[in-house]
Amino acid sequence: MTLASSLRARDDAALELLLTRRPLTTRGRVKDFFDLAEALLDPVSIRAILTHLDRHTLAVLAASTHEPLSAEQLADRLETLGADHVAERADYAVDVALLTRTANGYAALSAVTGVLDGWPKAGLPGLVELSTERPPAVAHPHPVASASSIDPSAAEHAFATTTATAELIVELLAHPARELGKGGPALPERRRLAHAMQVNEPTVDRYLDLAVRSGLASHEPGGWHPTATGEAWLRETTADRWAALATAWLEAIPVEVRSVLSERTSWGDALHAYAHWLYPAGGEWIREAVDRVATHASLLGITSGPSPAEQLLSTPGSLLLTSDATAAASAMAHFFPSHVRQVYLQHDLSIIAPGPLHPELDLKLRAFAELETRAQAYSYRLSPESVNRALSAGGSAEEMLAFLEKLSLTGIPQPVHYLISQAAARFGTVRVGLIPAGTADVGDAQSYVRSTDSSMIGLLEVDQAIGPIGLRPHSSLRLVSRFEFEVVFWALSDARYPVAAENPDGSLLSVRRQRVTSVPVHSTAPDHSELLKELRAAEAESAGDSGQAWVARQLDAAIRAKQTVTVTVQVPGSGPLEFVLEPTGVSGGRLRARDKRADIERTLPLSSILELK
Amino acid sequence: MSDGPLIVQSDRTVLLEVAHPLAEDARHDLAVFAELERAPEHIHTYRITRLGLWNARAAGHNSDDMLATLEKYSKFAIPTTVSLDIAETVSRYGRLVIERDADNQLVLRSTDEAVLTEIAGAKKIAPLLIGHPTPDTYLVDTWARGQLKQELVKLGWPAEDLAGYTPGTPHTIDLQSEGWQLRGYQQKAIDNFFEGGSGVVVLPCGAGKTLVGAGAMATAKTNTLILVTNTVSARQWRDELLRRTTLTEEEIGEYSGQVKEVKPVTIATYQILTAKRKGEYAHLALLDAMDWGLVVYDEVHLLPAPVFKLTAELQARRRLGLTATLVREDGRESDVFSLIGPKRFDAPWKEIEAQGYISPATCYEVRIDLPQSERLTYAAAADDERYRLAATAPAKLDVVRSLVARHEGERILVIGQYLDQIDELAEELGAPKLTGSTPVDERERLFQAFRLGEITVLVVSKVANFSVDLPEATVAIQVSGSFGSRQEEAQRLGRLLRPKESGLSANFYTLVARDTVDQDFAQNRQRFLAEQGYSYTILDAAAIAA
Repeated sequence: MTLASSLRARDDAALELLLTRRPLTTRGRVKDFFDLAEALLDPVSIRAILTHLDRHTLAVLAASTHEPLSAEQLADRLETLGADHVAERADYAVDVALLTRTANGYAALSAVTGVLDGWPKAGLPGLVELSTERPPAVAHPHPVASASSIDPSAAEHAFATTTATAELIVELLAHPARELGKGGPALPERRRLAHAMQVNEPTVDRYLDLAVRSGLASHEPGGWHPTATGEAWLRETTADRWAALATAWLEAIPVEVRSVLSERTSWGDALHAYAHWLYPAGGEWIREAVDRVATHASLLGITSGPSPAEQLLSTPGSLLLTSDATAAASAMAHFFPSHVRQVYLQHDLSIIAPGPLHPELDLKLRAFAELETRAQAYSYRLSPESVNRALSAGGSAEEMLAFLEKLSLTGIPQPVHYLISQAAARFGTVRVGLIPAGTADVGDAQSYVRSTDSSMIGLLEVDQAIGPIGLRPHSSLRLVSRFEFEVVFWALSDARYPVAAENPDGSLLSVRRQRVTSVPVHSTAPDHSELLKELRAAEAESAGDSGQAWVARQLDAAIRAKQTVTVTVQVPGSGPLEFVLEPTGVSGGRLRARDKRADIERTLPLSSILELK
Repeated sequence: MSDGPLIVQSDRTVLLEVAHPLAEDARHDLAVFAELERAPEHIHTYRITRLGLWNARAAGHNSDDMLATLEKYSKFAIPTTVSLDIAETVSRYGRLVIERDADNQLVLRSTDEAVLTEIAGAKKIAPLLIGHPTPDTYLVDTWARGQLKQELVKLGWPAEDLAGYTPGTPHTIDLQSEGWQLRGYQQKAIDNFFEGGSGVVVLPCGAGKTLVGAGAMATAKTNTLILVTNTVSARQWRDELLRRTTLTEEEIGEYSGQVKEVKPVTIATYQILTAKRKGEYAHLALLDAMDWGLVVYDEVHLLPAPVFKLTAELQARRRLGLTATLVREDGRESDVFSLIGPKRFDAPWKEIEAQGYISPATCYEVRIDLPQSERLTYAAAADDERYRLAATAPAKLDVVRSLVARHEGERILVIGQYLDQIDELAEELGAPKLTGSTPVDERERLFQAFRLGEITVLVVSKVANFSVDLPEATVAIQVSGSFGSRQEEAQRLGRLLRPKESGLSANFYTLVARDTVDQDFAQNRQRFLAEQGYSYTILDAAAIAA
């Protein structure tokens, strides 16, 4: 009841935060603040939140009593924490509805103490252990570990991860990745991403997780999308990209854990032991969290070592934990292959950048060449399809050649020149477009193909290779098909016709081959607005009843909890009177309760109750 | 880390910047242990493979040398995975040795008991071991020497074969070196081969592989079996041996579909060796017909799979493989390594090119616009007909005529795939043709006339593709070819690469019908040829006619 009242007094933002931190498993049953309080006091819900609390917050909870205690008093009971730290943790516990705050201090909730009291039996620490047990000792540094042996391999991992993540974002920009109902990317997506990232298929999830946690991609119901941050990140240098990933990694770790990480030159089991001490109820959750922190640290070259159990901090990793990301990035950049601004253009239509191409140039080049391999050097390849793609996107042969001229250390080989100029000269001889719905005299046709060259139209009509799209004559220089225009476009493109897609006004339209179905866009955060609306409506309704309904719900709760309440009643002719009662029932608009002081049964009309505490 | 010409990548490829001042030195050192995969104009790609590393180890290099090469020339830090992998892989070679014990029995020996235990327990190896006399040796069945080596390579533990060879029946062979002598690198190849035992000498077309064979025979001075790809090639070997050695016609036998002679030096074709009668190899007796002290495998990259099986049983005889490339289309490089032997000598390209033994070829792709009627016929045709229609488009004939006129006076090969097209080309050009049905004697006569310049244009089909020396040809016009096989291209180019006495550079034209399936194959060809380092230009047919 006390909790219900305190919840009712919170503003929407505080409630939103609470619901985010303590997701409801019984949403359907929550109609008002009493239901909400009940749901939050459910032992299952309490146990769930306790697993996420650190040792010190748990100690504050365990030290609290039903009688309100101030932060100082709690600190005295605990001995190991100062009042400020206690207050900080107690406030958090209030926010997540594990304590209540009164004028006299913080008071425990029976449901919470009930769960904590059962801990020692379940092998979890009690109050004494929580407040006195020391953290496990810092492991001795690895005898042979030295920066010179760790840093190069750490930097290799960091470089590989950063570039693979960049490819992931590029792929997501080309097309978001669809998610399976049971979780994880769908198989074709996994293949596509793994291929582009040059990683094993099973590790794709790890990179998606990293990208999402770094804010470069969003994980929404149905799939993964790139974010604006992700797009901007692609324009940064590899060292800056790494710094962004490393910063995001760091920020996800509680401040006090960071110092512990920097102290522990050797990670692995030692990290697990510390995490288990810090989050004694963490169980599977904390194991997974530590694994993730350690995995990401290893991927990012913050640590390196021969096995997950023998991970040592690299120099940039150490700087990240003790100094700042800029210092770390500059230390890491020292090991990265430097960006190059020029490439070798070759007769076989390959373009080799003897190092990672500067991001800005890389993005520009990718507009008309496919990235083929990527390691310390980058290799691209021109093809009729890649050039046509750029032409469809509004590029011109002059622009491409001028860009290559500037970029190339070796001029432009004749086959490259021939490919681009031929493609441009012939581009758009055949145009494909969408027929707007409701157009007369086209039957079921959805798309048209036109050309100013009648022999080309004649060719299209007889070509067996494009038979399946069923082109039929419409007018002298125009054919129509019942298929969608993308289907027609790609059929013609595959049959080597110089085809361009156009809008109804004749302007060019860029068409990219669809490889997956599209993903609907959803918001990432769980939506609590409906619930909040419902709670406020129930509150308003009870207020409209002159508070009677609210009083009745409070009394119901007190009856169920066999709780004693202080009731202020308006007695005609004698002013308000206060009774300490143990309610036993509410019916017919009347309260039946046992008066503790007078030791008699009383019956009071609800309408006479002024206040209930 | 330096600002060197190499980029060592985590995927085990090594890029070489050709224009770098240190590129030549780096290439020389790198070729020892990495295979050249692609060599376009500016950036060459090498790959570090297990076999490459073991080949290098077999040639006496250790992993420290190899890593030092990479460190010395690398632009960026060597990925640790690569350096660890190199050290680990190289250390595997030679931990197992096949040799003979005091009783002249074949044994597998290792000082590393763990390795010995691991391999002795392997399912396919256990049956080949017939005893375990001491903790560090296993007895090996004599017949199993080859198979054991094959299986060990598959397990990643290549054995060093020090069990020696049967000397063979001595036979006097000397080089007839009047007016010529072995080039330095040829002699070095021969020396390396004998030092190593058996193995493969890699030299590009035109660098004198046959002479290396002749030199090896003159060193071994024993009965020799030479295995070649076809009869024409067999005759060329015979002619070359007669010209360059003291061997006489009576001492050299041909064992082929046509003739079955067994003499102290016998030249046999792979085809006859693998010919079966009633399900059995009919000519296996040849392998034991004489006490061969040396077996030479020409074009070892084309060695048919059944010959591997036969070679597995020839391990007691000294084997020399000759090839321009270790890359096999069927990926059986490891069988060459285990059964013929490791690479003993690699092409010193710098030296060979500097000496001008290889004339550069220029490649042109000529794109031909089909007239509307042909284009319509092509468009209306079914898929399986399209390639033939594009390849044999009549419009190509005019271009061939123009090209022949342009290169008048030079020796020109016109290459086609379809017989009716070859007939038509021969008739139109007034040139003789050479196809699969041309008798061997007639073939030789035509080749001879071409060499002498009595014929300047020869229209040939696929038959001319393998191992035929036509060094005088300076122009090849490929009108149609079979589906752009890499090997076929290499052969065609190989023929043009042979040293030119005329000093003219070679031109290789391929004719392609625009916007047809022909163009797809042309794209593969362009890539392959450019990757082989040939310059490549695309022309429009109109430019030729002009």
